[in-house]
Amino acid sequence: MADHLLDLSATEMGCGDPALQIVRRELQRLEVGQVLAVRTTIAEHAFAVRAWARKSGIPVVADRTEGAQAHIEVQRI
Amino acid sequence: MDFAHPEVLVSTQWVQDHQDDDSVRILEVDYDPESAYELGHLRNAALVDWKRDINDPVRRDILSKSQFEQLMSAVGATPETTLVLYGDMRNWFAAFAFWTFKVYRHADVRLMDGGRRKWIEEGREVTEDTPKFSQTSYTAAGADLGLRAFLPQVLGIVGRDDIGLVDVRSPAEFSGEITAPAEYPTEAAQRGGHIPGAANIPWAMAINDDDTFKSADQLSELYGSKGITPDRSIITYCRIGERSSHSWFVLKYLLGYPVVINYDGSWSEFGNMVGAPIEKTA
Repeated sequence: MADHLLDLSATEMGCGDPALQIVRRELQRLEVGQVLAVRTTIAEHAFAVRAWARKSGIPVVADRTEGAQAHIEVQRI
Repeated sequence: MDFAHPEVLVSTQWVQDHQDDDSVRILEVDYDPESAYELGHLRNAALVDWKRDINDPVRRDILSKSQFEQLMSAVGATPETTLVLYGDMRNWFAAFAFWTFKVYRHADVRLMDGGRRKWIEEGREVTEDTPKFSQTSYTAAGADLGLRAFLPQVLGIVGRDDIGLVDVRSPAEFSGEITAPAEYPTEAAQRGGHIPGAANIPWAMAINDDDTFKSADQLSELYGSKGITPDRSIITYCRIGERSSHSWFVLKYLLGYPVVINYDGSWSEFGNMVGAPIEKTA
């Protein structure tokens, strides 16, 4: 069960931060051990979250696709 | 109705077919390479970092002619090379690079329609390998200042019917409700609003959900319905000149308007000027 849910599907529509910057910021706000669930319908965002987690050693505790939506859970370490 | 200059827009498939073509240089232009290029990019694509490579490192300006020559030499380009640009953030910064490279008169610059987002959506190959290119000795022509508006020129045309101003920012920025999005506190202006007479046509209205450009007919209707027509000279602006490069590209190359100029000083300059005329509707 995730401690916080972040939906990226509407990011980068106007002039906001890149989606992955938002994920990193939100994860930093959690306590160590807590889990951030990231949802997005945009493949570019899902790719970025997975690649960043892999390169940074961030544990991915869940990764599934529900229809067009990716659901990825990463844990604060 | 077809695009006026279809040669400047290439598909993801075209790029895939030319990844090993030495006459083509593929450049990923990123606002945030750490969130994009460094995680994976097109094979044989070199990175152009918007902050580091396209802007002067000290003063507020685009890169100089010599900096442009250094950049082109470093990626192994010659004046005859076909430059294909794509990038993060829905191709904003790729469009800004396109405008900048045209200012320095590079002949053959193209945008990959849909950008990084479409390439990944289609499941095409990405790599973390950084390509190595033989250094060239690129010599650029002088800057084409006909593509770039400066403040005195913009102040001088306020109120003229023969010149159309396109403010591509969000409605909240245009109205003066906000002076900059919350994510960009250093780019706020002292005053909110817009240049008198400007039409508000947010940049993203020109693209589809997959970041490809809308059809020529749709784009013509979008701009024409707001009085932005080819019989007028057009100046595009936003807050710091990137989003407006995207709209500049649409008007100049996809719709073929004869005179389209990007004002990269934009609202972060105009809205800070003492005595500048402003319309505010918020």
